[in-house]
Amino acid sequence: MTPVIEKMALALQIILKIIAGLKEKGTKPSSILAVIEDAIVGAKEIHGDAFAAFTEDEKVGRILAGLKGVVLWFETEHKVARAKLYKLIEARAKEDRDLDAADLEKLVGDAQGAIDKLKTGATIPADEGDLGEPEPTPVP
Amino acid sequence: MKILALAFLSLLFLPGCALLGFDRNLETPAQKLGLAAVEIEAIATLATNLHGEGVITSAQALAAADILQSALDGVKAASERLASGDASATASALDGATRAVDLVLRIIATKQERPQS
Repeated sequence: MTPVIEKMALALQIILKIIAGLKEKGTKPSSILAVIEDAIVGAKEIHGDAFAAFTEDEKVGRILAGLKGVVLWFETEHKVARAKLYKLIEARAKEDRDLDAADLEKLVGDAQGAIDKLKTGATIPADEGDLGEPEPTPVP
Repeated sequence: MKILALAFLSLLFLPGCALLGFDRNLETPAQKLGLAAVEIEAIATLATNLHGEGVITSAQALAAADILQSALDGVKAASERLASGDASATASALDGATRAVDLVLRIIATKQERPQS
């Protein structure tokens, strides 16, 4: 696995640990700090070598960029998905009714389309992680 | 210090993370099934993007697609039963969708060896 992909995987694991921790401990500022600390300590134990690379400014920049990109993807996709659902629920509420079978069929159809696109994309050889040497990135 | 900086900056992005997980405010079975469908759609799109960027392998993408397809089949079946007045399949479909999203996130984060050419 290339260093860049290893860092991306590590960043994702940190995010997942943070998400899991937030679900468990809540979103108070003190809880969030504790959750992040736990996640980073846990990641360090699992990925000692990769984690050591974080101490270099340029690599920290790469990780932060990757972390930001992944979270923005999460945020964007889930915002779009929820906005679509809430808009639909609101429209039906104005008609004084709940989502009906046709609404659910449409939502399921959209999800099926996204899965089909994933399947199709997966049959096309992607750049399997060889992103080359990291470009020098300014530390944010 | 770098680690502290990473932790601090991560805080800035937490609102995005907080969007994950199923919304407990949706009340009716139809709304919950609708949310399961859009969650599945969102995570499939995310996986597609990550595969397109080379962050996950084709094998990972296919595994994610299989898991999501199975969950969506459950949502679809539950929706059809709900339309006929039977909400009994809703809970298991929601549980399946939740587990599918969690599994796919774990797949995305799993370390992968480079494929041998």
